[in-house]
Amino acid sequence: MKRVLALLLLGLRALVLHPLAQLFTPPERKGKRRFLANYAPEALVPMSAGDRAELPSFSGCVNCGLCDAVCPLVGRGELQDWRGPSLFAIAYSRATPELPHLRAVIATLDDCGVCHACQDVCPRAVPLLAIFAFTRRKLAEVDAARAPAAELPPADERVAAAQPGLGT
Amino acid sequence: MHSYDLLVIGGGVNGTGIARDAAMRGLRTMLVEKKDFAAGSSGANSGMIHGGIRYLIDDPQVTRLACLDSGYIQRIAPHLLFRIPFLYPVLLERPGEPTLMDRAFLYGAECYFEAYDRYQPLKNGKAHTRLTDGELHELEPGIVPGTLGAVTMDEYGIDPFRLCTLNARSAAAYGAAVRNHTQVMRLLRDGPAVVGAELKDLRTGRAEEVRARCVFNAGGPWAPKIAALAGVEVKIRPSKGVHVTLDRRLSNYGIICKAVDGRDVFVMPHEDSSIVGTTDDDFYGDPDDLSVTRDEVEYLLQAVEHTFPAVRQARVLRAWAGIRPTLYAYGPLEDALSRDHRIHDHEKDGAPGFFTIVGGKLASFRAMAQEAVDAVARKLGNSAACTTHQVALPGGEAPAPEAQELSRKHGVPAFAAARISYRHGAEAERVLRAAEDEPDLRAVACSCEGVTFAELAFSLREEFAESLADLRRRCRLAMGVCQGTRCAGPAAALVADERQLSSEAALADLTALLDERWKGNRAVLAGEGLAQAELVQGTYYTTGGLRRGGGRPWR
Amino acid sequence: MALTTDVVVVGGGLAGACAALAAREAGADVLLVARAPGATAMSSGAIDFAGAEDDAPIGEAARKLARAAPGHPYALLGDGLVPAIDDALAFLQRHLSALGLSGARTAADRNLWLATPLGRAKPAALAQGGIAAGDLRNLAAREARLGVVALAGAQAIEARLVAKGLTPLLAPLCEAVVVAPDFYRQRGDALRTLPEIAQDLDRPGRRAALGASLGRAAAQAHATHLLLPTLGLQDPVAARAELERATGVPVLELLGAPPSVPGLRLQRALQAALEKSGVRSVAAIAERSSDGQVQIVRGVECEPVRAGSVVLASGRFLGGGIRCEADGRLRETVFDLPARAAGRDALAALPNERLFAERAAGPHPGLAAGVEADSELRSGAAFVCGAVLGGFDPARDEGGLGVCAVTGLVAGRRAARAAGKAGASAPAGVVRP
Repeated sequence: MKRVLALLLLGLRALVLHPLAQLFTPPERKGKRRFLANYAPEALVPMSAGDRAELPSFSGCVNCGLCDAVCPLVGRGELQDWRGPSLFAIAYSRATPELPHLRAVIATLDDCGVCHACQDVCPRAVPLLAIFAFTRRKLAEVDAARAPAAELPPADERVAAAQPGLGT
Repeated sequence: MHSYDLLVIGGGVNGTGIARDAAMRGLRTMLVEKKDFAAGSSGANSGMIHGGIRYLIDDPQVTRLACLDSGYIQRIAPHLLFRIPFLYPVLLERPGEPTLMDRAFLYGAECYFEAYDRYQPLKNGKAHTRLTDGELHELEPGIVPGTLGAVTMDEYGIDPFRLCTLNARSAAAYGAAVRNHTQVMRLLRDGPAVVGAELKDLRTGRAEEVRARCVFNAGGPWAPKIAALAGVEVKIRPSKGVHVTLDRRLSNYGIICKAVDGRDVFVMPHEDSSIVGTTDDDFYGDPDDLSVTRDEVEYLLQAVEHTFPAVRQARVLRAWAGIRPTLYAYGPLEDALSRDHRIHDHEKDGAPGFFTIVGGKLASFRAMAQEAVDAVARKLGNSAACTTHQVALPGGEAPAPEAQELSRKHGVPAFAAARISYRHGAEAERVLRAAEDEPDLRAVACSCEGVTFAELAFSLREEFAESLADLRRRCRLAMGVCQGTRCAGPAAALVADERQLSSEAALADLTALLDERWKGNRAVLAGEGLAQAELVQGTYYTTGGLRRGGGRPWR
Repeated sequence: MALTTDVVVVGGGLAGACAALAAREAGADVLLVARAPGATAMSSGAIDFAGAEDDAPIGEAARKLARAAPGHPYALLGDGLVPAIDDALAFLQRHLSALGLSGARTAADRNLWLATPLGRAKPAALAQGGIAAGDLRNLAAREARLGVVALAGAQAIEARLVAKGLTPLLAPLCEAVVVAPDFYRQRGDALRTLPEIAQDLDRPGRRAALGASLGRAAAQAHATHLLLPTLGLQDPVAARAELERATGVPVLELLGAPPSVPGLRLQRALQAALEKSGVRSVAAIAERSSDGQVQIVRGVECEPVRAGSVVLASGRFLGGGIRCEADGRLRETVFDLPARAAGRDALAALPNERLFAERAAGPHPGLAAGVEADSELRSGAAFVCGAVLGGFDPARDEGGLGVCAVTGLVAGRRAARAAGKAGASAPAGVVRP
């Protein structure tokens, strides 16, 4: 009985409620724009086609630590801030929601220059410089999504909640 | 002999949840677990607190309650949850122009997800969106070209190990006696009544008898075995679920894919990695001895590849299995079995005072525990109200400290501070405080998962961790990319320090952790995994001399 | 324009370096192509030829390995095995004198027993000065109090496990205690990894400061010997002498686990030896060219190499010489030589339990994958040496770097001869199959 009722209501939604809701929802509250407004400020940003092409090569690190042993930035300044290039491969680049916490370490990349000793010494040929660039780029994307001047009004879940729904 | 109101057997999410609820209602409670919290099924699932979208047609009330409870879990452990937006791509029946059926399917799917939107506010979820094929590929270019589009929704992921540990800790804080690594050897009877149990501490071998007015069997896949101790039969239809772990977040979005047999298989972000799951096959073996075959791994990867080919380039770290203690039914396919739960009062089976809970799902653990304790409370004449949905779990009382601040204040690297904040919430400060007196604890033990020695010490001192495997569950030690290459040895040294272990005992524990890691690695060894395995072998066996016993090897 | 040489060696770890040095000694012009360090730099730095359950002499233990595993590279050397080990021991001491390498002189000698970072004993024939001086057999024979030095952070925590493990090994005459000098006092010092500590000790004045601090701590603990986690990266011989002067007691060094300071030192010493002997080294990727020869790739540049003979020393999975593709097929990465594990050319072709044991300790035939060579150490047109040769498992045999040295030496000499440079200094017994 419950099932029949639920199916009927779903039918009603399909035939009446959904088309009506669609009619009254402005385009920026739909589709990809709505999706990004929902999730990008939580650092859940998408991977681009370029990211997708690069990502498999980021996964070669075996945590041998050779890159950290040759990095000239290790041991310079506060030890807690720069723990070596390996962490970019093995930790920082693995999840974009971590990046906002790593602002200081990513900023240290400004001092990194052109030495690429880490990449040259890597036994697994992990493209550390590309990983550095990736973390910077993704942090910038997260920041852009969080900026108050973001092009979209904040998504309002209550729009959906206020709509007549199943069982009403 | 110690005497309790309630003895809970099983340290999974049901057992720890029941123990917490009972202790909070003022029942004198004891929790025993033969291995460790979440060492069984509770630690071998997808780690999701979902809102039960699949029950929307059969029983929308179930969906409503699931969403409500998801909201409660968010309230009591906000730090442990992470949002997972899901993409549900609609592939064309056959390539070419979409058929009317394709279009109807997408339209139907959207209406279905729209109906689910109604419950999303209960769990702070976002409304669904519908994406065109172009939009879908802008959000996830790794998906096969030429879909009809997609519908999206969101759910939450959780660290199931920490959820169980926090429940157990909370129970202890409310006065419960909490014992992991303790097995029930037999149940004590007074006539037909079950009145306690003989326990054995598996580390020391010491036996102990405790009395309890009620005994709750929350053994999950082991529930039939435990019930047999009371001479009653509990039937479940155990089914094996395999997952595969990938080294990083392939995408921030979960993707719902179709396996070769039409089942839904997900690839989804989980903390800093991705997991793919799951299989669902009847299981007739010993739940203490699970292993994964290459076929099961291939089934999962192929299922994802069909929708998301990029998965084939991903680095697979390991495969793992768990057993669903599903309710018994003869006839339905595994997938169609009810995920409902059942609470048995075995008074009707001639064993008064003995209860069993079977079935259910991680997401509804709190409500199930409430129902279970209600049954016990009625019997014991306790009328205190359940407050598990209002009172925070340890660390959930206040917002987690900001990671960079934590890093500066305590001199630990920011990435480790961020993970401590995630795992410990408002308790993060407490975790790091030990490093003020013992500066060595500031060091990072596991760089993949950002685990400091301070966090390991905290788990050993405050969270009932006894071994490296226990630390793995509580802190994700050795669960990252290098699978213990760098952290297992140093962590073993800390355990030896904290527990005053001999070198032999400490290295036996290390060997056990390496064996457990290896078990998950060996079904998936290929590509980078073999290089990693070579390095693990080099570190512990070639250089470390771990295979050699401690005896003097020279003449 | 093509690079012309008598012998081209692909791979710059211990096997490749030994091959290059041996070919050079035989009078050949040698080009060594290596993209980056490999497993040698991640090793403990101790050179192990064969372990011995019963503490047998090294040559005997190696012959036992050859008999037990017909696929083992030692088996390929036949009667030449023991002379080749004698030869390798002398060769390594000659070329790596900067490391103060010491230990066995001939295959008739027994292994050193070296303290590991887990507090166990590892057998090896040769080790760098301060490590070899810590031979546990030797220490256990005297009344002594070994101070295991705990400097900071993870290292300090591990030092306590080392002391615990060594005490029963050294009893009853000698005991191990933890010595904690007041050298590192800053909050951030706890974060230092071993390579960071090593680099710190190389800085001006730091060794002197450590020496003073250690001297006090050693006196307080009545330590007769000090076991340090590292003596620095640059000049361990000088560092040791300086610390011994400052503390007044013998100073010993622990083996290194990755990131291993002695492993890095070994890699650097090999590079220095190659330079000194006139081997040309290029940092590049080696590939097979369309005509079956070698070409080297640096960025977008591609240069063909015209060589009289080729030595392949590209390592196993870690070094990148062998890959297992997603479909399970094993591939030798430079020349696409047939690579096998447990007799099959694909890991997927065998049930898992025949490749990988249930326990981490092995045996794992799947990890002993590699190229199968003939008794000349040839596969196809290349001479093959080191870990790219299958059939041996350093973790079980307790013979890893030693196998690389022996096969590298033999392959290098044979390659020189094949290139028309009849080995001037090669003992006949070694070169003959």
